[in-house]
Amino acid sequence: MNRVEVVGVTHRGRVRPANEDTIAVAGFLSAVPEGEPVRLTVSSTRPVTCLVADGLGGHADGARASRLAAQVIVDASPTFADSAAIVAAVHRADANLYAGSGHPLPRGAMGTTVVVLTVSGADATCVNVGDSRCYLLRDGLLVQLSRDDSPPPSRPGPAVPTGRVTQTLGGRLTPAPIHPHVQRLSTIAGDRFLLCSDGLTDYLPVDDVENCLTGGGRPDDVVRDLLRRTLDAGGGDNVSALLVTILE
Amino acid sequence: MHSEVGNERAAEPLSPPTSRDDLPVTTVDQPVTSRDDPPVTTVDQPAPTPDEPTGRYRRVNLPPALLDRYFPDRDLAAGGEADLMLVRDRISGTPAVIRIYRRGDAVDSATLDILRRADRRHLISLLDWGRSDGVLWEVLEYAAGGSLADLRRERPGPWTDGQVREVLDQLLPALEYVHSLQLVHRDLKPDNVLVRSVEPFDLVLADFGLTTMVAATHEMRQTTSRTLAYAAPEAAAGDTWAGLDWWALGILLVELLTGRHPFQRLDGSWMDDRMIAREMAVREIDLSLIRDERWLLLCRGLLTRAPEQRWGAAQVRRWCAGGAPTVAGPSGPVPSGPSGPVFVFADTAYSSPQELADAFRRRWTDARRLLAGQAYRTPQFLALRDWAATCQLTAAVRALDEPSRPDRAVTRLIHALDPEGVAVYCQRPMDRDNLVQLAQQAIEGPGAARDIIVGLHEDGILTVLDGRPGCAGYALIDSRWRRLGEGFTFRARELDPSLTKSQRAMYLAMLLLAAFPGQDQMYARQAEAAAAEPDARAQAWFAALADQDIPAESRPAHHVMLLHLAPLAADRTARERADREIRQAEEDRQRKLSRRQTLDVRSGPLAVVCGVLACWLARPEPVPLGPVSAPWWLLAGVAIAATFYLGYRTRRGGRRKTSFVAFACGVIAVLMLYNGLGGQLPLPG
Repeated sequence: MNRVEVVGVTHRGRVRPANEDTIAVAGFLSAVPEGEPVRLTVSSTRPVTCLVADGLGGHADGARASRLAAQVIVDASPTFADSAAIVAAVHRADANLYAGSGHPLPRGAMGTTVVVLTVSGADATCVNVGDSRCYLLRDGLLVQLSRDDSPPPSRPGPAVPTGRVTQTLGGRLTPAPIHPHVQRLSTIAGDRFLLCSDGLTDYLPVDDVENCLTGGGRPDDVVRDLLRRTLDAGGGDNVSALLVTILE
Repeated sequence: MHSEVGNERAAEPLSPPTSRDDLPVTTVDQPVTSRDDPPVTTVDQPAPTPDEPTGRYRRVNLPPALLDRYFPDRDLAAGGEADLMLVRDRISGTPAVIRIYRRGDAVDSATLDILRRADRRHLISLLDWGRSDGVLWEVLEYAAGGSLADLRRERPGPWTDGQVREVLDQLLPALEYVHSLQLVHRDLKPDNVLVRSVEPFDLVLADFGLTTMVAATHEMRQTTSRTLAYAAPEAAAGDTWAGLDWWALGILLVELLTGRHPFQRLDGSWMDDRMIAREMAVREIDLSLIRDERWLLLCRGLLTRAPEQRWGAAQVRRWCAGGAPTVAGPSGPVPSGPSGPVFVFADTAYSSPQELADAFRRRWTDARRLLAGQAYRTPQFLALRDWAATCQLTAAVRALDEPSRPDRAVTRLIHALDPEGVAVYCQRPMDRDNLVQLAQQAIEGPGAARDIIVGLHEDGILTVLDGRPGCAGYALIDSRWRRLGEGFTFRARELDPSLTKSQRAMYLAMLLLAAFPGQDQMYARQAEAAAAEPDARAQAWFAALADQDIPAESRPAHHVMLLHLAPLAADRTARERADREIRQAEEDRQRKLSRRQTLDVRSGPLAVVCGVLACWLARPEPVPLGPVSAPWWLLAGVAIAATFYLGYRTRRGGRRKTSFVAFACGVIAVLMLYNGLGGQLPLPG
């Protein structure tokens, strides 16, 4: 039995006119413009899948892209017995985005980033494409499990934020192969995973995120606090966060 | 500006000492030549005779040929090849510097003759030179403005473009002039550029101890007597040619433009020769901090690795005139920088292991998060490992492969990346002075210092830091500390299960101080006083503990244990004493209660007797009033009062019936007495 508690929120932020993020928890999808944290406790014998998809701003149908990708992955989630199945679903979502953008692609296919966490028994698998992130909080330390698909700096010195990503689901003029990053680990009761879009991590330093998570608050308060701090810091992008707590 | 050799031992050297500048430890600041100001007092005082003691220890004596002309003021410095002495002209009192080479053939005569005739606008004046008693000596002009290194110390941080341009405008013609004399300076660095005056800015080249005459072609000369940090790559092979000076000029300009020498760490310390040689072998000089494209072009030109393609006087002149000579080299027109792979940490890309180590020191929490990923082989951790492997940093790879707790892993990795760097743990410097300070803070009160002490102990950090600058002997201290700490913790938990984490951290800090060599008696006196405290000794277990014969190596732990347990034992004694007193008071109270109870019980019959007696005394038969009968009535009154009092006590003693009878007798006696005294009984009817 997988027992997890998930608190999720998605918010359009202070600047963007619409919310192009989608979050999904155990088959439920949400992409509301203004969000209050929602708490779900999931007990299931099947793998529990949570994801955050961040539709690419400035592309055609960012919101539709994140929702479509999330839908494809969520539909396949009952079969996520191993990481290969998750990766296959991510590839399928990528193909669907190109297919759903019509032919020929007018200004490139709609695109989205995605970070998926699947909890199955005592194992967790994180798969990501793009710069949406997954963190693990254990022993008071926040460790990033996902890998950002950001352009690597070519020379030493401060990295200049470009807002560019090197791979996404869809989002290109022509289909190109993607290489999802996979991270597997064993879970223990009390582990907390934070899945979030770059709308959170671009505005909130990791130290602050860690402080929020280790502050001892209830999960929904923690998520509310994360959202508030992100919005206070500018909230220039859509903000989405899922806090997944392993109960047993 | 130096006032006295040795006064600035704490100052960070602006450049690493060269092998020829093998100065005593107390003169780490500069290998000065003629830079020291003469003490003001000596200017105003009459010159002492040669036989007059100057009151200062002098390492060397003036050669006899100079004794008649100069009197020595003081020693300036000693290098591997020469000694320097500040002297004054006996007639004019003008200060000068005399350099005395230990070898008579240290510099060839031709070079010295050239230098003596050289244009003093560009070079420090060589006033005279000679040989006597097998030594070579030079009399040099004394420049009062200090050196460029001194000026840098006065103006820390990056210099403005205008200031750097002033330096360039002075050094360019000076180097051209030196090279026109067919000489190569070979040791150009801020210490050897002297300031005759700041207003107007007048720089001259000095310290030609390494200057070599060269032919038109390169002359190979095997020597290691150069400053590695300013030496061109080809200097390692012993090349001697003008390009060495242009490279050194490039390094000097980078140093001024960025405020830091390329081989200087962020904390101001220098890489050692081995590290510099390695960096030179595998990397380009880091020019990433130079933002101005023009200066970047000049530095790239001067720091071109290929000697034949390096900029010289002509290219620098063209650059000064606003031109942009071509820069050769593998990097081509791309802005130069380290060619190695980069690793991104905390939003900054690093290619230099030392700089990455510095970043870890500054951002410890980020580094902990990064290395906590070791347990899960996170992408960031694997990227770091890949980077270290690509850079062939085997020690770092080994550190990354060994499972460790995050803090220990960070410490080990920093050590592996920068073995000569500052020892740091949790962003706190860990040299001996700072470690002692940390322990004292932990002893003084709760706070972060106690957490760090616990981390140091549990992670065995001192062993990792052993041998780093300021950390000599840490492995032994750690071994001793751990032994003491474990002994203390075991006994303390046995004798005082309530020992808190914070208290334990405080005692660990005390034991750390006691673990330093020669400090094992640090707490002996306090412990002795604690062990003699009467209240504490009243506890048999404490007295037995205090009287135990403890092996010498475990005594500090025993002392700390006594310091911890003495107040507990004394407190326990005080509590026992208070308990005893309370118990005694309770017993007294109970005894009183019991006696009263007994009396109350025994009062019953007495009350009845008194009641009956009162009734008899107050019976209705008239007793004539008068002097004879008065005591009789009085007696009745007393009996009535006794009846009521004893009746009350009987009732308090629980004998309600007896007390009722007594009270009834009392009442009847009162009524009868009232009647007998002439009143009427208040009976119905």
